[in-house]
Amino acid sequence: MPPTRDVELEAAPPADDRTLRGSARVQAADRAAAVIISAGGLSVIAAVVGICFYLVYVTVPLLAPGGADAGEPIAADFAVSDHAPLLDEYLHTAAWIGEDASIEHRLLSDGVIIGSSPFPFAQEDGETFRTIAADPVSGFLVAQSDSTLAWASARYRYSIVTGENAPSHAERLPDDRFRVSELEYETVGSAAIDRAIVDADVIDGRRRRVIAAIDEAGELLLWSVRKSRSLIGGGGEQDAVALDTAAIEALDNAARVILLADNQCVVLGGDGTFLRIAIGRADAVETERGRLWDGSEQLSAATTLIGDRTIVAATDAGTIGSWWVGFDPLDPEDPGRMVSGPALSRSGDSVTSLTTSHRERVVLVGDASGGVRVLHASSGKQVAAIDVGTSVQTVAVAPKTDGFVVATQDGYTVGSVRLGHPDVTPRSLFSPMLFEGQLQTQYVYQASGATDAAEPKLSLVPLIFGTIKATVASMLFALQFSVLAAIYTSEFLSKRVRGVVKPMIETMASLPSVVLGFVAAMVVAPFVAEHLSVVLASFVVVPLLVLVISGLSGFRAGSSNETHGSAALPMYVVLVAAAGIGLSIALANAFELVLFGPDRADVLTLAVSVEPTADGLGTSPVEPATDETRARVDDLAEEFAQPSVAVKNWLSGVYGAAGPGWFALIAPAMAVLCILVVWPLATARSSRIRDAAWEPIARIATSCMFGIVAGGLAAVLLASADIDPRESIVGAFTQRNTLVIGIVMGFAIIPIIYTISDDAIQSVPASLRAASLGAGATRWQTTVRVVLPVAASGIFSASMLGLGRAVGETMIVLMATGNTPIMDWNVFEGLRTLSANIAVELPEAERGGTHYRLLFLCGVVLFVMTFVVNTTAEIVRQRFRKRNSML
Amino acid sequence: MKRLAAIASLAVAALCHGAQSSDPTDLLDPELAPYKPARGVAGSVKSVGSDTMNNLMTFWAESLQRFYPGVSVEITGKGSSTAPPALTEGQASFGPMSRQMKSKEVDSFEAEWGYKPTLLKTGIDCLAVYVHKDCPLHEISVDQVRQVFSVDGPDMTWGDLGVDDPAYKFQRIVLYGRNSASGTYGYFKQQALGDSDYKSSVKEQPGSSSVVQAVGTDRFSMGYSGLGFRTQEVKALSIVDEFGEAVEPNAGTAFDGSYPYARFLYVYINKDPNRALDPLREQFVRLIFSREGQEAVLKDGYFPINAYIARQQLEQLGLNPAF
Repeated sequence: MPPTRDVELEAAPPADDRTLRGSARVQAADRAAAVIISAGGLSVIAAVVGICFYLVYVTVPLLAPGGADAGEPIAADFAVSDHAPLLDEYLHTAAWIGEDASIEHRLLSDGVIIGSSPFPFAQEDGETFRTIAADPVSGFLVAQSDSTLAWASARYRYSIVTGENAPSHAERLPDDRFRVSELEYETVGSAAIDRAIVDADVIDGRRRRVIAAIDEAGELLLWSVRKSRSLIGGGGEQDAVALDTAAIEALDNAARVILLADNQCVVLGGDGTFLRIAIGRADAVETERGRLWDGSEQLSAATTLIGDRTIVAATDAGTIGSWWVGFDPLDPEDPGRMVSGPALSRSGDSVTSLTTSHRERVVLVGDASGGVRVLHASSGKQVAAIDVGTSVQTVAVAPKTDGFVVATQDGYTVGSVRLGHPDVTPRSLFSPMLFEGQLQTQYVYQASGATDAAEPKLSLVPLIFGTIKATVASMLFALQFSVLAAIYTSEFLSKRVRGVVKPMIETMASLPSVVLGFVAAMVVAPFVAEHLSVVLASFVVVPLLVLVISGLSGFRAGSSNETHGSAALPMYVVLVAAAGIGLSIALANAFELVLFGPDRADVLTLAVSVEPTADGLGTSPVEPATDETRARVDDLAEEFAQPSVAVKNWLSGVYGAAGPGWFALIAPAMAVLCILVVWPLATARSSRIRDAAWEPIARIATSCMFGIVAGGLAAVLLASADIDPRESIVGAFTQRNTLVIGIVMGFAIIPIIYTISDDAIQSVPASLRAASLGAGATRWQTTVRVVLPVAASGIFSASMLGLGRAVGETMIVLMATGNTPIMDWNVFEGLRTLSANIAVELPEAERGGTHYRLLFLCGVVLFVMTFVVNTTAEIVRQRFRKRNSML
Repeated sequence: MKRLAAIASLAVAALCHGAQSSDPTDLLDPELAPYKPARGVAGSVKSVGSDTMNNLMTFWAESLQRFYPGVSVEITGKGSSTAPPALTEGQASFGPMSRQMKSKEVDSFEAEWGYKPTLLKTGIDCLAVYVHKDCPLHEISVDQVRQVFSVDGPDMTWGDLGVDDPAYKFQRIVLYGRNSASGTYGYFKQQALGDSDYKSSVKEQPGSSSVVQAVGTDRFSMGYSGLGFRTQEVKALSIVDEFGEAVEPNAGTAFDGSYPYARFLYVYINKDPNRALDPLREQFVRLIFSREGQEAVLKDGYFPINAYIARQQLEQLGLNPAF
């Protein structure tokens, strides 16, 4: 009837209108919420992008090159000299050294003379002195008269005065103040000589000053002056004492003498030969003679780098090389040998002048065609270059390495230099480098020292290695516990018990990592060190016992589904685990002595109960003859029988063969492989064995036997091939090691992996489970074959999240390792991660300096690693999600 | 509560150190005058720098607070290398350091402020090489120290140092040291290792007391730290110098320079050369160079400077020593 239809039509809402039309207030709130949430999301993205930009902004200048600018040439005839001027720190004045060893102090801006001082000895004795050598870094001047060789060091002193007291040449500062630079002589000394000296050098050591000189025939003369070290003043210097150098044969064609740190002296010949001498307390001994380059090139300039350990020498063919004395670290008696460092230049114009920086490992090179180059010695990189047009006479660099003075025939030019960050190059960060004093290239990270001379060693490879090692160790420990726990709590526990257990595990995540680090360092590390054999044994015994007991439970009558959900089962497992720990405490020492204990011959050798062998070339152990020896042998045997002592000594390589170590590593691994992989494959076809009650226990028993046999075989094979585990995956034991990190950091990431895996497993649709159970599968079969494959993506992304957390974990690693940047897979050794490195070193890095930017680069590397891990996880998760959404 | 704890700790420290030397106050120069308080001193003292001098700065700061209760004090000691950046950025009023500033650090400061920082010598320390109290070794030569700690030497066992005890002979020497932020690290690297690098296996501890604590719990270990951190669990080895004489670390050998690793403890301060120090910092510095200040140095286990050096330091700052 028409009225009813109208009413119906009005009552029903329009079918295609999807917008919830509410009141205006609701709509306004809706729009406001949309704006606020979008703004929040966008600002999060903006913050992350901003952080990335900041990281890049701080790091990119590391790659920026340096540069140099030259000012206008200033005509001057006083600048013509064999010796470079001594520059003051502010590049305001310079001291030119005359041929008679007097000093003229002049303004750099126009060359006007401010003051002059004669050589101290010239005043006293009235003799004429001739300059032999001048060292711009230490300020030492060496000069000789007919009968005396004298040395003095000239130092600048700066004072800041107000306007009225300022002399006209003072440098103007803001606030109407002036800075005055004055040159003073200090530490003078002399020695008697009777011949003409060609070259000389002076070096200050800790307890003495050494002076070296060579004469025209190439003979070496040495003097030593003992210095007093009294802190509260008093004491002075003693007279120069000549050292006995008569035994040293002179070098032909000797041109330069250079004193190096660690009591070394090198005489360089003009044709590339050299003679190295070790300076003792009262005499000097020749240690090495050889050649630095082939005889066709002539030495034209030589100097030492800051720290006086490396010689930089240049030839007239433009070759510039660096050399230092390398000592073998394994041989304390090694006299060392000259090692060639990075070549700074292989060819070019003849080098006329070489000078070194006071602060950095940088040399300035002037050549015959007027080119001036700034080279970084550690990397061989050219930082800057300019051209002054005419042949360079001398080059001097300002103490702060921010400027230089080039002197030519016509006059001099003042220039400025920006070094940039030459220490950091992709090669120095990621490939092995050869450092001063060493014989081979290696990866080293030692970013700073207390002195200017410390060579920064900035390889990131040990840090990246340490990060990976810590992450692997903690994942190996955490992954199986958390995933298996997640499977158990979500599939087998009753809801009631799960409601208690899950929050308890999640509470583990609330422990601050600094507390965990503290516990690791103060409790876990000493415990593991004290009871190492028990800890290692429990890794094998506890899982084995749990497996055996659970295998035996296969004989129990009754449906497995009922027992799974009970609260009593976890209690049983805990009891069994405790029994396992008790068993390992009881058996550990026995196992340790059987596998790693010393045999009688070892004990006798170590207790020095030996006698010479028949051929007289060695010793062989014998039973003790005297009471004293017997007591020593018994003490040692008793010492080694103590718990955990034998395994640590075996690890340190004090005695013992490789075989037992391989057995201990491979046998458990083979057994696990057999249980997890071989048995399922073998019983895939045969349901009679697979479903039998004795299957689990048979599986365990045969896998153990297989493990023992396979382990024994592998041990024999590898030991006979001379491959020792002590050089790779295990090694000398230290208290703060990767095992402790694995345990504690594993503990920290277990809740993360657990929570997300648990949620992933829970989110598998119940219909799948029901269908599987309805088809007759047991709970376990349903879990392994139906639920896990579906939840796999979630479990994978959970472990990736845990991995990301492990990569970035700072406090635990900082406190529980020794922060030693070692590249070693040894599980009983410490490590240093990128994050801990940043935490330790950032407070001491000067803002804007190389070290500071390098630490930000560590942050960038860490960011990239975490980004890659998380992106992979997300991609995998999305891919599986698409597949699962169809279920 | 804090004051009570401070007095208690001073008393305990005095007892401990009194037990070691017969009369520690003998070491104090009698010419050092007692501190005379001034008026109108208020503000806050912020110190960033050496861990070795952490306790010492705390003693001085609490001494200052006893005279001027209105002064607040904030002391952070993460290592000497944290002092130069803090001083340069103006975040600290004092920078205690157990080593001198490197030239690059001075340059940074100068680039920011236009003048160099002022260096004050405030105390003397012997940097000791510690071993566990049960360790049979009593002395070690400077060459052996270098070989043990430096990359130039091999991994050494106790037998390599001449120890015959079978429990020790084959054990590796476990090494403890400081991290690179520490002035103690830098000073030891320069003096004991001759500027060569440490072995990678030297475990880096965050502070001086944690080095001593680690050595005290690990029987086969050796570490270096300031003498003021000595406990009953460790012993400090005598050092045999280059001339064959065994030198024990104590005040006498520190003063005359025969102990190879004796050093000054420095405090760096930002003093504009043409302006006077503000009253708070002036009084803190006067307190350091007074009798009370140097008594605090003694209480912390270090050795005091004499009046001559104290006068020099005060004159450096343009202050009249008045003794």
